[in-house]
This record gives sequence, C-alpha cells and structure tokens, in this order.
Amino acid sequence: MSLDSHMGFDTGTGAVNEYLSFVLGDEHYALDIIAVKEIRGYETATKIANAPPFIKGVINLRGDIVPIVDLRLKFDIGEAKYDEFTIVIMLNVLDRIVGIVVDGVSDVIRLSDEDVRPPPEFGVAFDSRYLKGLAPVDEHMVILVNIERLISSEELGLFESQTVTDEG
Amino acid sequence: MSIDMEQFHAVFFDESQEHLDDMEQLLMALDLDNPDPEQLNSIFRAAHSIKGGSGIFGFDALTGLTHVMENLLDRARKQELQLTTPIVDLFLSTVDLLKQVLDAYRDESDIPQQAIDEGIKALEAVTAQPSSQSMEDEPIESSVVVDDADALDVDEQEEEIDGFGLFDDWAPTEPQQDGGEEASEPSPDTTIEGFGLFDDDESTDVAINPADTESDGYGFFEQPDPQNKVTDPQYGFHKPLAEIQMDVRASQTRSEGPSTSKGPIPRREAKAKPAASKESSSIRVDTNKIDSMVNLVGELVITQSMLSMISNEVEGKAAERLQTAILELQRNTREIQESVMSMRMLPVNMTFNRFPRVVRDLSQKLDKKVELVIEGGNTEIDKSMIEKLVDPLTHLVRNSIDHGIEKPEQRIAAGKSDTGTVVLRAEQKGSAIVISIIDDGAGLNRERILSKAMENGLINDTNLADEEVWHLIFEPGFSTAAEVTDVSGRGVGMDVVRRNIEAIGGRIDISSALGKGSSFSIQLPLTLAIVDGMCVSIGEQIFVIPLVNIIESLQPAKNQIKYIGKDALLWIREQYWPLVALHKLMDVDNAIEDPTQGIVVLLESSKKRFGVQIDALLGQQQVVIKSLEQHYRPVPGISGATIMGDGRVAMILDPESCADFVTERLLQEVAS
Repeated sequence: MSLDSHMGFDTGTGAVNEYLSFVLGDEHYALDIIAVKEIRGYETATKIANAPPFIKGVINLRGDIVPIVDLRLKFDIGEAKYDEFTIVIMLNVLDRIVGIVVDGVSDVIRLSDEDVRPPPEFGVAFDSRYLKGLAPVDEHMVILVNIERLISSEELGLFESQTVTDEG
Repeated sequence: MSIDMEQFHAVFFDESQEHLDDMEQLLMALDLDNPDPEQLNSIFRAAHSIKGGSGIFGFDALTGLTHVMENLLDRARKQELQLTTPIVDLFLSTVDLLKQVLDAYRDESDIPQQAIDEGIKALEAVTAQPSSQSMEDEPIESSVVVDDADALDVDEQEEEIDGFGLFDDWAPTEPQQDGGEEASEPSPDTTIEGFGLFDDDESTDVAINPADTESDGYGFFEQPDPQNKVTDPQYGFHKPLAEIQMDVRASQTRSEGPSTSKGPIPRREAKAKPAASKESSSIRVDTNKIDSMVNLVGELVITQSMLSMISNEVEGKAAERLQTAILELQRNTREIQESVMSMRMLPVNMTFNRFPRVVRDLSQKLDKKVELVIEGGNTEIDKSMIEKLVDPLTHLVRNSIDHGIEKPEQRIAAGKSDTGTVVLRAEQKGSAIVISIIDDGAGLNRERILSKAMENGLINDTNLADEEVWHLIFEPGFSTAAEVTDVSGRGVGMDVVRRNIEAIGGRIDISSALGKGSSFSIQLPLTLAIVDGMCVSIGEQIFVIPLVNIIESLQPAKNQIKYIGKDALLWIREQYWPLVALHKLMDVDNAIEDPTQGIVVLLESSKKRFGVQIDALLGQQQVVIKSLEQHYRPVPGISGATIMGDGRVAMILDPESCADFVTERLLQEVAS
C-alpha cells in the first residue's frame, strides 16, 4: 500500500510524472525531474566574451565546462542576487549539461496528466512554447516548464543555431 | 539471438577493416620475384579471418568474395601461382571492393552485388589459368590429376610440393621427425630410400620410378605429379592421412587442408607465434573510455594542486610530512597523466601506411616513376589527429606526384634520375610534430602562380616575397594545373588542405626551388588535448595563450604606442603592429586600460601578426584543453577552456580566429 502511494498509483488513472519545483521571485515553477542532474550552490562563473547578460559564464563541473544561465535575468523575474542561498540546478538536456540559477528549490511534486491545465496563450513572461502547462499545488500555481525546449531554444543561444534546427 | 550477434558486429567491422589494411600493406610490400612465404601467409590469414567472421555473421557477399580470393592466395603461397603485377593489382582492387562491401554492411546500405560478381569473375579467371611456371612445363599431366581425382589428389599433390620445399631447404633429419609425428607407422627403410632418391638421383631414379617414363630425375623437383605417383607407394603413411583429411574437408575448400598438417608448416607456425602474442598484448578500448579517463586524471591533477595549496597553510610537525606525501602524490599523478595521455597517441604510420598504395596507383596512372620514402613513421601523434590528417596528406602527396614530379623523359632531360622521389617524413620538434612532404620534382613556378593569381583577381601586385607567392596556392579557387585531371587540379583542395590543417591547430609552410623540388611542411601540436600555454591575467580573469603563437612579450614605452583614430598601433622594430586590447575584445571588467601600464604579447597566426594587450604574465603551463562546444557553443576568439589549479575555468585564446574577430568587429563598428 505504501509502495502504491509512493509510486503515485492512487492519484488517478493518468500517467504520473515527478517534477522538481523551484522558485523564481515569487513564482513557482517546476521541471521534469528526469532532466535534473544535481543541485548545487552558486559559484562564480568564468565570464564568456560577448555572451548575453543572462549567461553568467561557465564553471567546471568535474571536468566538464558547463554554461550557467540565470533564468531570473532572462525572464526578468525577481532580483538577480547571488549569495550563499542562491541555487544552481544542473540539468542534463539533449546530452548536454546546463546549469540554471534559481532563487530556491522547493520540492519534488508528483502530478498526473489530469492535474496539468493548459497554459494561457499569452500574458506570461515565459513564451508559451516553453510551457508544458499549469498545475494547482496547495495554494500556489505551479508553472510546468518544457525545459528541453527552453534550453535548446534559439532565444537562449546555448546551442549553435544549426543544432536547434536539427533537433526541431 | 540476432541481437546477441549484433553487438559483435562493430568488432568484426573494425577487425576486418584492419585485416584489409594489413592485406593492402603486405601486398604493396610483396617482392614479386621472390615473395616472402611469411608475408603471403599473413595475407592469406587476413583473408581467411574475414571469411570466417563474415560467415559467422552471415555477410554472404563478403564470404563469397574472400573465398575466391583466399583460394587464389593459397595457391600463391604454395608457389603454384606465380605472382605478377596484374595479379597483385587484382588483389588490391579486390581489397578495395571488400572495403566497399564492408562499408555497405556497416552502413546497412545496398551491397554492390554487380561489382562483387565482377570481382569474383576476375579472380576466377586467374584461378583458371595454369600460371604456375612449373605447371606450364607439364600442363597435361597436372590437369589429368585434377580431372580424374577430386580434391584429395589435389591436396596430396600440394602436400608433396610442400614436402619438396622441406627436403630442399632443411636438414635431412627434419622430415623424419615430421613423419614420426604425423604418421602412424613411419618406415625408416623407405624414408632412407626416399632420401636416396633426392641425394642420388641418377641411380635411384630408375630403380624406384618404374611407372614413370620421365628420364630426367630432376623433373621431380619441377613436376609435382610424377612425384606424387612415386611417393605414394614409398611413403605409405601419406595415404591414410590424406584420406582422413578428405573426410574432414569434404565440404571445405582445399585451401585450408594441407596447411594445417604438412611440410614446412612447423616453420610457418613458429614464425606466426610471436605475431600472435603481439596481437594479444593489445586490447581494443572505446575511445570514450580513454577520454573519460583523461578527464578524470585532469581532475585528479587539480585536486592534487588544491591539496598542495592547503598544505602550505598547515603548520607544525605534520606540515613537513604532509608536504612530502603531497610531493609523492604530485609525481604519481603526473605519471598517471602522462601514461593516460600516451594511450591516445598512435604512430603516424597509421596514416602513412596508405601512401605506398596511393603513390603506386597514381604513378601508374600518370606514367611517372615515383619512389616513396617514409621516414619517422613511428612518431606518435594524437589519435584524433591521425584521422584528420588523412585527407590533407593524401591531397598533398597526390599534388606532389601530379604537379611536382615530372615525366621520366622530362626528368632525364633535366639531368635528374628518371625516378622521382617523394619523401613523407614525420619528426618531433619540441612540443610540435612536423610532417613534411618533399618531392624532387619541378618545384613551384613563381611566374605561373603569379599570373594565375592575377587572372583570378587574388592579387594585383606581383612584387611579393616567395613565401607569400607560395601561399597563394592555398587561396580558394586557385589551381595552376594546365588541364583539369581527376587527380588534382579541380581548383578546390589546397584551400581545403590548409583549412583542415588549421582545424587541428596546425600550420603549413612551403619552400620550393624551381627545377629542384618543393617541400610542404605541416606543423602540428603533439596532441589536441594539451596545449603549451602562457597564462595571462586580464582583470580578474585568466586567459591562456598558446605558446606556438607567441613571438615575444614586452612592456611598451609611451612612444611606441601610436593611434589611428581610436585604434592603437605598436611601433616595434621598424614596423607598425595592430594592437588589440584583449579586455575590450573579451569583455573583461577592471582591466588595465593604458597599454604602457600593461604587457603586450606579440602573436603570430597563419594569417596575421598582431599584439594583444594584457595586464600581466602569470607563467607558462601545460593545460588540458576542454571543449566549450560540448555543453555550450563556439565562442569567437576562443579555442576552448581549461581548468586551472584552483578549479577555476580559464579561456584559451585562439589567435587565428582572434584576428578574424577583430577585423569583423572593426568592420561592424565602421558600418554602424
């Protein structure tokens, strides 16, 4: 029984996915936990010449040179401050490692497909292309991010534009 | 089941590729008049391995083709077939075809069935010819044997031929040992009598050879057939063995049989053994595993240098012991790093070995006599470079033969030997590998290059130094070949050569003397994974400049800095050098603005020479190059990143693209 509830079988008939929720400013976001490699504290990155301001630079992740993106700067949410509480979520997306700076990581949440509502067509900083949907969790509205599409987007410029077209 | 087999496919493809490469090299090295049996055996074994493997995996097209080839090779190694240049050519083209078929299987594309059928036909045509010289003497008799009997007689006949080799070459006691091992009842009497036959041909010949009307006893040595008849009654023990073999081999090719049991085989196997043990001393490792090891060792080095920094802060009795231990660690990590790095290194012969074939084919095609000399093939370079060198080197060698080496009559008219020489040389010079392609041909023609360049609008001034003129041939769309051949001279290529070489961090230089020859030398870094660099600081950031590109560094005096508008120039040794403020280019804050307060490093790329302004020099260091593209994207002016001793990331400057980047930026500024 406890196993069942752990697996989330009791929440409904639709497929259940696990998401990592995080905070940007006052807003709650979540991304597919499969994409998360690890969570670590912010460390100063080495600046990359002529990169947009939201790309903080690159860090050494056990031998890999990994870019760090500050989503707060990219989407102009909250205040981009860097202290000992600043968190970086290291993501493993399309065979690449990318770190995203967030204000905090809150929880792992389980949502079935039925819990997820379609995103509005407009009116949010996130382009609706990068949204998977919205889900009410407790009091909050959690914004589910299609992290793969966001990270590989031309807008973020982490991939060479050719790669983006290749991967659709 | 099929899935289980598929995991071995990659290994089979790799190994077959190697076997084919080996075959090609061995065929090229074969001395036709006096072929080394060991080499012929190696070629045969390679073909046999491919046949066996392809049979297991059901690659029938490969099996069919190698089977016919193997038969022919088997006859060649038994000296039944006199090898000639056309036959070797046929073998070589079969090897090419096999490579195609192998690629087709690997890529799961269509099998070139028509070409295979033609190849088999061509090989069978040779098989059908009684081209062995000994057979030509008595063609009728040998054909009789083949016709009346089946594979058994052929086998036996072959065994006898092998046996002759044994008797001729070896001490008389040897066959006795052989016989003792292999036959159940060796008769000493008959054996001795047999020896009598060979030693004392005149008298014994008549006695033991009643059935044969051949008057000349020496005929035995030339004609396998009569001997076959003679030895049958004498060496009774041959017969049962052959019968056993016939049963075993009823469905197999005759090629495999005799080699396993008779004649000079012990000698062959004795030679083959060291080769086999050599093979087993190496294992096939996925390059990804090595790369990840290189990575981890890099991390180890960083951790170790962090430890040694911390150890400096430790005080008291423990400090000294700690530092000794850390020194030990440092030595060990350095050794580990070196040995891991050496795993990526392969002898440049891996690339060079294909050139005898290229030269042979090309010189035949062009009616030129060319001798290829390979020097320093054991020089080791990074594996990834080996692959990337193939195309540019092939192009340069073809170019040397096509454009450089003259036709024999022209060479003689010029007072040279009719055979041209192309030298392919690899050598290590410091931390660079220099590969040169040197020919003793006509040399580059300055006037022709200049007029061609004028024609194509590449230049408008002919007053250039030789060096600059030679480099014109690397310009896109430049070709001096009077007529377009399929060898070279399509007007593409030399610019691709230069681009390919620059892509692996190399440089190409030309020197040439009219009528004497030309030399193309390629300077390559020892490895792509490590660069000798100068660490420099700009603001709070560290950059690494490859030492190869650094000419010198200096602190400029005020009167050496001149300006055109906002752009600074450096006046040094009677020349104005462009001066690039690296902190502006690389967007670094808090850097020294005034060039006279900082340091200027003079850089040389293949295209341009310029000075870069930095804050300070930190020191020379070997750094491991990490890709920025793996997780990010290429950055203009930067070739990669590296991890410093404290774990921080430093950018490695790429002087080649830096120059382009500066130009581009200036153009943009002008435009806006």
